[in-house]
Amino acid sequence: MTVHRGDENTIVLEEICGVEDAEPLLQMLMELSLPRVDWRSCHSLHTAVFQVIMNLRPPLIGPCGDPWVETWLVPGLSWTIKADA
Amino acid sequence: MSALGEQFVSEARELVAQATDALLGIERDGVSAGLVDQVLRAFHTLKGSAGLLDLPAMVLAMHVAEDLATSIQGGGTSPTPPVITQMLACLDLVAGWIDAFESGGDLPPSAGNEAREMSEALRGVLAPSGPAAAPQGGVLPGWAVQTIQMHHATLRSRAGVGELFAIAYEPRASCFYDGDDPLQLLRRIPALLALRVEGANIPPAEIDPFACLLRFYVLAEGPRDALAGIFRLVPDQVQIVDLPADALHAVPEEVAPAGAHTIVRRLINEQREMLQVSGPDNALPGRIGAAGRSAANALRHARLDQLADEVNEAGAAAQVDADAGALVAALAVALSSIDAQTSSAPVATAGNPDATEDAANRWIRVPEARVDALINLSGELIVLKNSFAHLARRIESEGSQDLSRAMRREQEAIDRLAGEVHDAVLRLRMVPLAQAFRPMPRLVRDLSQQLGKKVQLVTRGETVESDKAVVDRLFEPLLHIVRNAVDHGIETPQVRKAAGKPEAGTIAIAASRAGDRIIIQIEDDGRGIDPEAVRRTAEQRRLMAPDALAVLSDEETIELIFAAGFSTAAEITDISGRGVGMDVVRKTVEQIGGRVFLTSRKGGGTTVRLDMPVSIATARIMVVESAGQRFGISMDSVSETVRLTPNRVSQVKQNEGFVLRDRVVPICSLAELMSLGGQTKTDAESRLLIVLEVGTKIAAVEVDAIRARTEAVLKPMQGLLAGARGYAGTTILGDGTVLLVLDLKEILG
Amino acid sequence: MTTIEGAFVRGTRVLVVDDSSLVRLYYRDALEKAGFEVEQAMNGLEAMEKALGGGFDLLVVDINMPKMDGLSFLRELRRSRTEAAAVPALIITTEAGSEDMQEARAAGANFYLVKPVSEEDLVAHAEVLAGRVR
Repeated sequence: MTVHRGDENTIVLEEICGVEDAEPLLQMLMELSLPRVDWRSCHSLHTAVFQVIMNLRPPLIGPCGDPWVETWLVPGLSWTIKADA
Repeated sequence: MSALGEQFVSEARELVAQATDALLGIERDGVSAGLVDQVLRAFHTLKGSAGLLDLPAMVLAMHVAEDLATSIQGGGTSPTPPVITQMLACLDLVAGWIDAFESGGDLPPSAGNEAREMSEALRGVLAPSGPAAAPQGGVLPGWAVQTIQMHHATLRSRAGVGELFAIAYEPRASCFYDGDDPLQLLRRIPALLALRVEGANIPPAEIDPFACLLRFYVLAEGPRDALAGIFRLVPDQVQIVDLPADALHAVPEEVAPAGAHTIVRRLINEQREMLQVSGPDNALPGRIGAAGRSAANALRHARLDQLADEVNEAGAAAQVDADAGALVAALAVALSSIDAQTSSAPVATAGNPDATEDAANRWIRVPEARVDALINLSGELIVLKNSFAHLARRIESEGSQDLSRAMRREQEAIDRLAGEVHDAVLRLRMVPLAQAFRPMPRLVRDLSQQLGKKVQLVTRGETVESDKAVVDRLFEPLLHIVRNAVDHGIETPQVRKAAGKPEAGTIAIAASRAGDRIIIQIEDDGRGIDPEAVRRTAEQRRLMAPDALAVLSDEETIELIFAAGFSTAAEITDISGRGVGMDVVRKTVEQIGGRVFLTSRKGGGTTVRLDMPVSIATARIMVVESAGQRFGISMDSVSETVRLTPNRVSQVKQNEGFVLRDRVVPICSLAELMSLGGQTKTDAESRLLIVLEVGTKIAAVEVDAIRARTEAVLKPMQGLLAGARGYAGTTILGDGTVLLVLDLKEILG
Repeated sequence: MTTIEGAFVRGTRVLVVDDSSLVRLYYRDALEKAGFEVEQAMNGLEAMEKALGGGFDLLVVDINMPKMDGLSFLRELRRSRTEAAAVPALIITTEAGSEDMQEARAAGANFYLVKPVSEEDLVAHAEVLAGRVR
């Protein structure tokens, strides 16, 4: 799965995250308490997945593996982002 | 004049000033969305008010001016100096009209012709708009402006020269089902400059992960075809907008997000506009009713309930009468009230802060007379607390210990309180110096243009505050000094270049606070004052005998420009207008308790220094005694006190005198000055002298004793003595006696 | 305006008129989230019927619809001799050019927003026009 649980409440996004990953991600974010999202190994992100992240606002462990996302989308995110694991 | 007329006059004057500031700002720093908007709004509002008061000439002129401003905003006309000059000329015309309206209730009869000529002139500088210079009639969509605002830092550093576009991409909610991935499309944009994403804030439980509710706003470089090509499959979800090249140049920080107060204001104004448009007669009551309700609602939203009620009443009446007049009038009043509340102290910069709902920034307009009355009361409170202190001391010496201690405590408390009240009240009259500085840029600009000189004006310390009376009277002297600097001080560009100076001269006005004084320094880097030239002029004007002149040092010679009669009408160039003499400047400044100093270096520039009191309501005085009587001496001109042994005193001509650090200081006795008779003390030990300096003149007044130094509220001389020279006023001492306070400047002068 | 009758608080009622169902959905969501009560109409005729039924505090009207377009609806409404004739109207337009504005004003529009309309702008303007106090 390109979206899977890591340790300590971390959700890891790997490789290519497509539209079908949006729902599992959403569910995990809602089930875990204080979840964080590690997207360092994700190098392609579908809009639906990004939208879930924008709505749920989890702390992010980055930088995002997709440099385009890091450059153009991350600066506009308005919540604090955790930089390290 | 009616209340409406008065509102019109004060609102119009403020608008003219704001538009002037903004135009000068544009000329100095380049065009920016905020400044142009300010100019546009000013003309627009002036037009509306003129329409309301039925002043067709002004409506005409403002209409054309507004068109010109719109053209500048859309990029069709470039704000070159001739354009700015023409718009400033238009504002001058309006200022004259406002004055005429204030005194006569209407525009002058020449207004019609003047308006027509001005319209011609304005149209003359209005260039035909470029092709598609700006989208949608010159109005950038809000989302584009917001995106520019958020990313202006990045944009400013952009070096590219390609065409600029703003793109709004709002994918359909169902786009995921169609296999769309909006981010994929956005990635394809080759020259992306800025990206903003907006999403819907939905509670997590209700999120549908497969509905796309994101909206994307982009700034990118062209070519347009490439951009359109990327989105060719979703044209209904995308809007591409041309951006004028200068949309990114200046930082549009002044474009405030639509705060509620701004919307309220715009909405009320819109009702006024709307009611002036004619529609079908049978729809008029409905339109009036809707306008009234809209405006009243807006006012209620802004918690201005009283205004809301007034508008409601006016609207209801207007609807019944099927005549919008009463409602339009009520709207104008509401608008002025909002503006009066939100316009802060005079704006020093062109970046006029938009009205915000910040409760900490609310202002009240109060008639000056009421503030003065409060100051008088507070002054009397000070006098009272002084007498209380005196009483406390008496009790200490005559009464019981306990009682006197208690008394002392209360007296100290009252002392503090009275002092605080007095300070607070005086602060009511405090006004930033910016008021006096405000017309300077315009003056410098016009004058330097007329004289073919390049001059730049720099100011500092506009926020330093002083008593309104001081600031009001500061304006004229400042004006003269600056005029002189441009006229006589700054050389022409050629002369400056030959002298190795930058072509543009600089005039720097700096204000600062030093204790209870305000220092204003006007410095220029011009040609300075040539002592030789002054000597020659002084000879010509027979201000002094030639041998007396020859003895003067360079500094003393330069001081002669303050002498009455130094500048004659012939000296005053046409530019400077009426008789300007520095003697008038000095007199005016001294009248408000200030002093003027001047230093100059030939070839290097001139510096004029004004040393002003912060407030003229209280004065520092020294209570002295001579021949058994007490007087107060205003400490304005006192520079020091000296105790002399008799051997240091010598005869200098008819007077006694002594030497103080290389200067000969004549001595006069206060007892003699005041014709007190009595015995002159022949104290062998020492003589007490108070040294006064007025300009370069120095003198010492001999007294028997110095009793106190205190801050006192001076009451100016009244009745018969009001015009008598040498008296600064009276004050009441703690023991109830009236102290006569002398203004020795005048006596020695 | 909220009127408190007994224990019931009547919300501010808005009529949204737009031929696109997605747009109506978008406006409705935005306004309902902000506490308005929203009714919809998909064209001018339907809008006229509903508006004449009374009880609206605000109209939000797209004026670029086919059939009986938004401006015609507004004109007719203002002419009617009813309470509804004076309901404030916020129009949504694609242009802010001066002729369109004049036409809209003549028809009786009280305020306008230029598309695309953001949620914040819509709610902010609706609150001011409907006189809601926060």
